[in-house]
Amino acid sequence: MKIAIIGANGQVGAELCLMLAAKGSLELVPICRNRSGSAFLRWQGIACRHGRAADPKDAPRLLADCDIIVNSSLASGSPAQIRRIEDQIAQNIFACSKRSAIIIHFSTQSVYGDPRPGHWIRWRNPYGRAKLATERRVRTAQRRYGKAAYILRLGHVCGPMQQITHDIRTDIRAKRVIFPGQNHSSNTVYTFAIVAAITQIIRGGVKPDTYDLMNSPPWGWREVYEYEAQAVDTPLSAAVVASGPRSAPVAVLAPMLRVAAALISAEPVRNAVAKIFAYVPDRTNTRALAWWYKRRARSEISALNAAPAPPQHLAWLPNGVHFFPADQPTMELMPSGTPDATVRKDLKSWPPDLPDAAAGPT
Amino acid sequence: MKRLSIGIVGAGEITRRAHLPVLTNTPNVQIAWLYDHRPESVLTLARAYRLEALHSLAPEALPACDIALLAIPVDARGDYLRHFSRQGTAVFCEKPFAMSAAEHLLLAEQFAPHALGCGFMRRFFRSTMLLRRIVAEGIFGSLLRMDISEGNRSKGSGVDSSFLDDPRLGASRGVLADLGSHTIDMALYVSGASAFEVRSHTLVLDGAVDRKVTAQVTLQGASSSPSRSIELNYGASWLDRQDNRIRLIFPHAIVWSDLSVSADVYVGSPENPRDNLLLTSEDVGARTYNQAFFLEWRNFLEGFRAQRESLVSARSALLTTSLVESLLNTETALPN
Repeated sequence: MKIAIIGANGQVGAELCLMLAAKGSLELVPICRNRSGSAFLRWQGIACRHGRAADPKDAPRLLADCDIIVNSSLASGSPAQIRRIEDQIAQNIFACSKRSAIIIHFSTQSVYGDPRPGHWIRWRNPYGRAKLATERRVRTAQRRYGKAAYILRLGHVCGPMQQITHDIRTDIRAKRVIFPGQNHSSNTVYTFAIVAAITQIIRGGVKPDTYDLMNSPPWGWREVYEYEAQAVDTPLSAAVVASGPRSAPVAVLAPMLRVAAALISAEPVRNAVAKIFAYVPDRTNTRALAWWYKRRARSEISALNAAPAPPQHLAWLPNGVHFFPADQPTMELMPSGTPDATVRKDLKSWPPDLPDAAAGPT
Repeated sequence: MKRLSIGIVGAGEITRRAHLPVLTNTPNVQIAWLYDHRPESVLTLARAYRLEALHSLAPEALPACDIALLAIPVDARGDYLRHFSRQGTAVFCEKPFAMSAAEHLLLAEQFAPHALGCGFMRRFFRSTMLLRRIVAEGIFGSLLRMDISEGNRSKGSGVDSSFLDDPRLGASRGVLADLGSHTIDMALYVSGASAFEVRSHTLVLDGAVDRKVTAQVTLQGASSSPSRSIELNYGASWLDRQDNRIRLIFPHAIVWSDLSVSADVYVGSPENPRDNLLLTSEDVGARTYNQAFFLEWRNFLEGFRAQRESLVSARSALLTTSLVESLLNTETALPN
């Protein structure tokens, strides 16, 4: 079976390609737009196809002979360009693939909106909005073409080649890990779990649908750090700082108070207040100044002794409404050994490009 | 003060994201026109900045201006440089300036030193300025060794096609001329070296394209101790994660910084961040890319007005071109 990975040179796509190539059970067709982009994979001995999946002229020669198509691409540019490109890719994947093709589209947890706790409304950022719009297009195309499509909303993707994993390992080695008091759900998914999900879909038994793909069962941040500490063979040394959930009134008032404080501290406002105080009694002046001096001193002293704060993402809200029915716990999928286990050692660099798909969609 | 008119050749990413935003915010400067051989690119960009767009013209047909910015690949600049040299127009080129020292010298001779610049804007990073000062003033003694490496696995390219993949522009492809020339220039600029000797180097080649380079180089004639040599361990890669730091090793201290524009400079070791001491200075330096491009332009424009060679003169980048050329020499490179 041939499996195409669109966006194969991306952060997630490249690691998936290495892992799928190492498994060897599928015929891998990594798709990159240009040879600069595919250099890493070719260096690792993995042959690629080059072209634009968003271009209806390119898409048939890239996709037409593939049985499974994984869309791991991430469009870039202005919001209008992103919308147009994502639309074109989704359309071409369905239009230019085999009739029996299985489509796996990667989406994101950002479709759930602002992950910070204590917000009454979880506004989506432009990335989340764009991805949600693409999900809709995929579902529309799925109905139109009648092909099996799986939308996987990935959590924070961890893995040996992922930036988040690199950052976590750097913090562990430098012994500067700080946890909030509560062990929040991490919304993470390891690349090993993504490969397992793809394999499970190919095996059959999973209904085409939209799924949240995270570690199974979900890991808290402490489990993530403990695993990574083992991976880099460094004992986990972490400070824990107290944290409590913000109350709803605080969540509403905090932004207003910040705006008010910014207004009050603006120079014209301060000048106006000073002008008014020139006409109020001495006693009021003295009391106002004393209040101001005390407040300033308290703020500066507390800044001096500021407790280290954990990274904001460690307190993000857990997501997920419809989890992927993984048939194996993620921990059982994880390799033991060196952190760079996915990087191939027995590689033969710079293979010739893969031939184009010969026929159009069948 | 006379308003200088600037003509821009090349409507690519570096013009869109750096030069145009900075030049439109630079006092006493007027952008006269924007040219690109691709009509669609130049019309879109010129419309966004309300500039006159030009396309499909020979260099000789470009309108006059005081300074021309050449933001096009190095191999495509020849006709423009010859034309502007004949016209007596000053030129500011994006890096790399040339692909060989001979070509670099030949081009530099056609212009007055103040009238030809090259965009090594990292010289204006606050961290670079501080590191150079530390070496030049011998604050921690004589510099013994410098380690500098930059790069990571190339991820999403963000573009459908790149000039790096264009076989017509073959000579300028590769990590060394693109990303690597910045770090080579930084090493030479910080050390103040006036000569070098490549002791060993390895290239990972993808066909004719260098994707990864490592080298051991001896630098000579450094500003702090001209008679001593400095060992340079160098790396640039598009294939795997590098240290992405510069480390200066002195007799009793290691001074280091990462290579981002907002980087701080520390004494100590990046592996033990809690034990580091932060170094700072009052000098005005860039902490954002817009600031770096602004300081680069300001320095070049001041030099142009005063007919004085700027910190980014083409002549000052000759050693950078020469070292890049030496490292690209596959005949002397060890196999990857």
